[in-house]
Amino acid sequence: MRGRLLFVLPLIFFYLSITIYPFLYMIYISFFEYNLAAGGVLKFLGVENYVKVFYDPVARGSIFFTSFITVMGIIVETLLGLLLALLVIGVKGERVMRLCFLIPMTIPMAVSGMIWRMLFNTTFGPINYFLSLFGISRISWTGDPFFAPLTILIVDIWQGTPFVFLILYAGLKSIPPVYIEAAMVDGADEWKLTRYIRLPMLRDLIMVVVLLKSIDLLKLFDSVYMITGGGPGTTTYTFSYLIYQVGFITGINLGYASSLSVILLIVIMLLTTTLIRILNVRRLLGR
Amino acid sequence: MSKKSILDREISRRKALSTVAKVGIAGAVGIVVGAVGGYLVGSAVAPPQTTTLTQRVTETVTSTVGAATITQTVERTVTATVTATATAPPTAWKPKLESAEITVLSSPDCADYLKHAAEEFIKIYPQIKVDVVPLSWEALYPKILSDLQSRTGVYDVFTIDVMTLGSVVEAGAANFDDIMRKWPDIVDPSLDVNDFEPTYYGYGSVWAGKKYGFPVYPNHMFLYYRKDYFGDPKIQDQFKAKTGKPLKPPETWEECIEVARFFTRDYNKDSPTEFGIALMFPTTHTMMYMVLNWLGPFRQSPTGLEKYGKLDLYYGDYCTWDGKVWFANEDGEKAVKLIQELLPYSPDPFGSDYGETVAQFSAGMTALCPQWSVPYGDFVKGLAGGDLMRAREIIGVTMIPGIVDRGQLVRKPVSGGWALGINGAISDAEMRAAFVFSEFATSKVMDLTHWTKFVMPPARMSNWVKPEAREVLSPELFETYAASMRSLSYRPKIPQEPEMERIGNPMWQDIIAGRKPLMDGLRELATEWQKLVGQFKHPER
Repeated sequence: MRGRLLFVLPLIFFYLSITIYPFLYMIYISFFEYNLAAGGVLKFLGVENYVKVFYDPVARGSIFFTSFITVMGIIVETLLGLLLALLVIGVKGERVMRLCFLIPMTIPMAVSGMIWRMLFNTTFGPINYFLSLFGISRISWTGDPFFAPLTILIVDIWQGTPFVFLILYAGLKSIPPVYIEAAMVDGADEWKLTRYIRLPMLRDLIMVVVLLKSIDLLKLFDSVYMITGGGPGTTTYTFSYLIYQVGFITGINLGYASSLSVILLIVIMLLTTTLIRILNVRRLLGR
Repeated sequence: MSKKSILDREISRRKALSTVAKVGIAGAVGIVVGAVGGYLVGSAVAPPQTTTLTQRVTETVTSTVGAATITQTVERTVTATVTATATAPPTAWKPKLESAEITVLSSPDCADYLKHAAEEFIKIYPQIKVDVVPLSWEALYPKILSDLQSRTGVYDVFTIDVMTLGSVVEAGAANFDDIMRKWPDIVDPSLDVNDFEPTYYGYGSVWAGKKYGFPVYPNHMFLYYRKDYFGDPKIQDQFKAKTGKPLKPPETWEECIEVARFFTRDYNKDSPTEFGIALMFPTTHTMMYMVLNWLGPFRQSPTGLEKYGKLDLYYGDYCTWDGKVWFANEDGEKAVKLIQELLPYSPDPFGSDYGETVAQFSAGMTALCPQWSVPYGDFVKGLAGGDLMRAREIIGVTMIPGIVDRGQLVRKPVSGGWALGINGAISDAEMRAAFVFSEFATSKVMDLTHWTKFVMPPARMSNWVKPEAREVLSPELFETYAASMRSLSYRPKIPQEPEMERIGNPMWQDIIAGRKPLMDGLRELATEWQKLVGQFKHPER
């Protein structure tokens, strides 16, 4: 027994040192003022960093934008992914289309972010050129407070929908054909097949997709970093981007950044737990 | 002169031949002596040549070496001492160094030059390995700070952006005075710190009277303009017909608005460019320096100096002499309104940053572009196909415009630039190598290559007077650089500056874009900044 423990010990030590210790340290410094740019002296603040989130207008704005992008992203991506999965299945050229739909998911945001940034460029971008053919004047996609959030949403839909499509397509493929065939014998058309057979059977998978996309969107960072830089003003600051700004870019305020990280962690944990419970309840009920 | 005296000066043919022979022999002896001397100067064993040429350069400078508090309106004479080592190869002096590996963390602007310097350095010191790591500004600064704070010593040398000096010093950058005292053998006899441009040296390398770096890249913004359009008689006539004034590079922001409007096709269908001016007001650190081009003239005008006191380099132009954020008043309002009036003539002021505006001007989309010196290379490529001589006819360079106060034109381009600093937590061998590398990379000889190869203005005053410095790229760019040097605006360099940026950059954009009522926005920002500036304890008062 002791021998086996010895073998596992290095791994436990490694795990503790790179995961548990930094995590606990983050919670610890979230109660302090700890600003590297101002000498990095620890000064105990109690819960002040946590309270600050509620009266910091930038933090409030980032919560609003994160909520907006999460809700809109989930709705649009789930509907679009589902629609694509339903449309593609059984169609001629299904394999090629499936492959094409998955491409955006495989491109790193560092690359696709640059591409989108160029596409959305106000002066040289092809999107504005295309719109100009219809007499629409240039849009400042990243500099206008109305269009910048839309820009982030569009990019996220482009990149996030393939994931939803993949899960739901796999779900549709796994529906036993016998159900479909039986319903067809009973005279069900495509709409009824979808409404009464496919969607109910996909319900759990849709919940999983919503759960995973929620976590993903709550942590949204890379597209904001690559495309708008949080602007205009702080319009497209997500919570993660705010943490990055506070902790790593200009603020180097690790105390406040840690408290923001803890809050994000708590929100994600709560959401995850709630959704997992919903899923488990469904399973327990045998739905 | 009388005929007799002319005749007296006539010489016979024989005498002339004799003179020619004597001059010839003297010349030959001179060449031999020169060659031997030159060889000895170039070898490590020869003592350094110390022929001193003194150039008197009369400049209006904005600070004194080692002093943080400066008075902008006082003119003084600076003497630049040009020693022979300025033109001698840097191998003339060579201290003994142990083998070491040093990592240089560099901003993108300086990276190519520092790589070049590293290659040259390794030729002299093969036992030292120098690795230059370029990083974007946003990634560079946190890396430097976290490395200094954690004292891991991963990076030995790093580029210090002028306004981050306070944070870097607080975090644990090495004190150059201590290094020089501890190891006098590694202090280059030709180091000549008095030769560094005093403003940038005092602003970006000296903290509380102590050295924490050597300037490697002093820089400030210029106004680039389309010289070909400004010199075109047809366009000049059109401008005169529309405005009643002659077309010339704008000297004030009000003139700039007029010129930018003329060159915007929406307001003038005959304009050769689609937009007047390429402006950038993103929420990045660009905002922090761009705004000062407008606020600086108000702060440092004769009236401004009376109202807000003389300039203190720790607080910069956003604050009064005694550290009060001043711009929530009618001067700040006027400055922002001048910015706002320019916005309609710019392609995408809030969606554009450095890269976008460089692309806009390079592509011929705008007639004006406020920018740093480095994009000149891009402009030459974009507008003149890389032909430097042709570029001189197309690309004009002038000082950033300003305001007129009490009949005096006040132009205050924002200062930028970088110094080379050293990590305080590295081993002695690395520290010595890092210091010698810093000396080498900022030496007079290497300094000149900044300009001629990398479009980075010289940090050494002795290089200002060199004809090759003026001629190689664009004499106009060089002259404007030198002229602007006498009249700059400054960001604060206190440790709270990064936090000021985090809060200020998006707020400035909201104010400029009109998303916040102007005066309310200025007051709100001034209040937030005052909280931060108030935390700073002035090291010299």
